[in-house]
Amino acid sequence: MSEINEVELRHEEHVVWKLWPRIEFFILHFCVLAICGVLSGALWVQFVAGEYPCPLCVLQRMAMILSAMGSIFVITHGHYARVQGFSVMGLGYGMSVLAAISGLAIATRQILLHINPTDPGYGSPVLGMHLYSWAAVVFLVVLLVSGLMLIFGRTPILHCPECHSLEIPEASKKKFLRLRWYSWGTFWLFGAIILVNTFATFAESGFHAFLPDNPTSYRLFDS
Amino acid sequence: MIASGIFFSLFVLLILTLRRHAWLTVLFFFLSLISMMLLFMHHATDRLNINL
Repeated sequence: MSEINEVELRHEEHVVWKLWPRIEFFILHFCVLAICGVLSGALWVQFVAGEYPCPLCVLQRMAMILSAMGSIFVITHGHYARVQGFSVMGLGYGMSVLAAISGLAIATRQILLHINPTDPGYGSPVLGMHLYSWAAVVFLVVLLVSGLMLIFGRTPILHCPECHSLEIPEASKKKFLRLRWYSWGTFWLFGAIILVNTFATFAESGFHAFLPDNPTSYRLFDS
Repeated sequence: MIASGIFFSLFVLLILTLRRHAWLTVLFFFLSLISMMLLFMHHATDRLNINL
């Protein structure tokens, strides 16, 4: 037992292991902000360049939001190893992986629809590739990052010797978790982007159940 | 409207990640994921006029 503690202590003394929780926290925030950047770019193409998103583009936005939700979950629950029996990191990165796989399927479907060399593709290309091809790249990166974080991510309790509880206490009176200011900033920026997408999609579909295959106007404002 | 409904459920999921409990997060995650994939399957097969 003492040998195990000594090994653990040696790891704790190493500067990389001391800094790792902060680096991990930084990577999680960066992932969410990167997805926010990609979604803002898509909104810019929609509202400034005036290109209407097709149903598959909208579905890819949903999958991107869902894949960032895993990182958000690890940020909000990051100081605990488990919550209600779920591993915080397992649940968070598992959510990201499932969402990225579904997003990759949707993006691949759209790439294959326009893969014929004579097909001009949907929308105008950005940096040489169409937005759906960039979406496929984003989903592949999410898969890669999630896999690496599952391998190298460490249970936060190891870095917090003064914490006595691995799991969030069930008897806690507070319903919601507390976050630091930069986590709140990331959280609400992400929330604002989701709400903008909600209203933009509603404007495009109007009171119809489904979005049109080739949208040419905002049906909510059509008389 | 279905697509904007899914976006709204994603916003609800975001708020639920602040709660100390995980079950509702898991439930809303799968609700959003399954509805998203059903909508994808609708858009992928609608034009084919497949008679099931």
